[in-house]
Amino acid sequence: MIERVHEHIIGELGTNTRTDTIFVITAIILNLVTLGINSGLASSREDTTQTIVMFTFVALIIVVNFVAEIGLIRGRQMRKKLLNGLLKMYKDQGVEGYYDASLMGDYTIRYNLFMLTVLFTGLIAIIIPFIIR
Amino acid sequence: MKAGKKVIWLSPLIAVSIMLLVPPAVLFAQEVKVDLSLRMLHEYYYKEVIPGEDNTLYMEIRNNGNKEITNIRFDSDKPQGWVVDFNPDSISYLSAGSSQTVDVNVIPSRDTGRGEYNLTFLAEANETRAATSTMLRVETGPSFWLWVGIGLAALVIAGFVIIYRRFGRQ
Repeated sequence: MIERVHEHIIGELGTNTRTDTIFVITAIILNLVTLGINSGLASSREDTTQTIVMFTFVALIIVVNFVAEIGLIRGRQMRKKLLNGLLKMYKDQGVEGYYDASLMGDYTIRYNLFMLTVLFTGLIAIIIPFIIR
Repeated sequence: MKAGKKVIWLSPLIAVSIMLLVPPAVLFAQEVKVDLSLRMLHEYYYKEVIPGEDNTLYMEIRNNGNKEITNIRFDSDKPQGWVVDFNPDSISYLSAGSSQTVDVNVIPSRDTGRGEYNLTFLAEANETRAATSTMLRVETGPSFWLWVGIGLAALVIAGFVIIYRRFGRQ
């Protein structure tokens, strides 16, 4: 039974990683694409329609970035819980020496870096077009 | 020999008859050509202009026809809020083949944003009319949009901090 639980946790960790990767990549790609579109709109002649389109894209950036940030925070928490369960299991089995508990701290730092990357690409995608305009 | 004498005697008679029957105006008239052209000098196309300030452009008006052109008035088709003045604002007489330079003072409105703007200048005379256009660019717009961008960025940072603190604890 313990092997089934172990497999389940490993499977959950894999799903968690994939979900987080999708959040990060989607947010960064969207930020960069929107940066290009809005910069193009901003550099052309000022027009009400273009301004509305620009603000619509800004709203999209804000929503997608917040969703990505929340998703990443949840992903980090989920990974922490799963790894705690895994560590406990290893302790019970007497093999905890093979897994360094400090890895959990590294994961936290990695998630924070991902969140900062998403946040800063989002900020650049918002500000640059307004500087150009 | 007799026929040759007859031809010599008839030729002046035929010539005089034609001259008497056909009016001289038709015989010697030159076609009247009215042709007015207006053009911007090359360096004043796609020129950078500054909102709220005087920006002088030069254009040339030329009478390419063979008849004088009178009472030339200038007008412009410009973006809203822009002021365009011509110096001279009218030309009373432009003789055939002559040209004149016209100063065009363009003052874009202060709230003009960054971009490219098309202006059309018209010269309307009693006999004809001519038009030319130029593209002007405004590089420095108001800093309003910059503040909008900064405001939105501040909003996003604040939102991020709130989300991080609120969801991070759970």
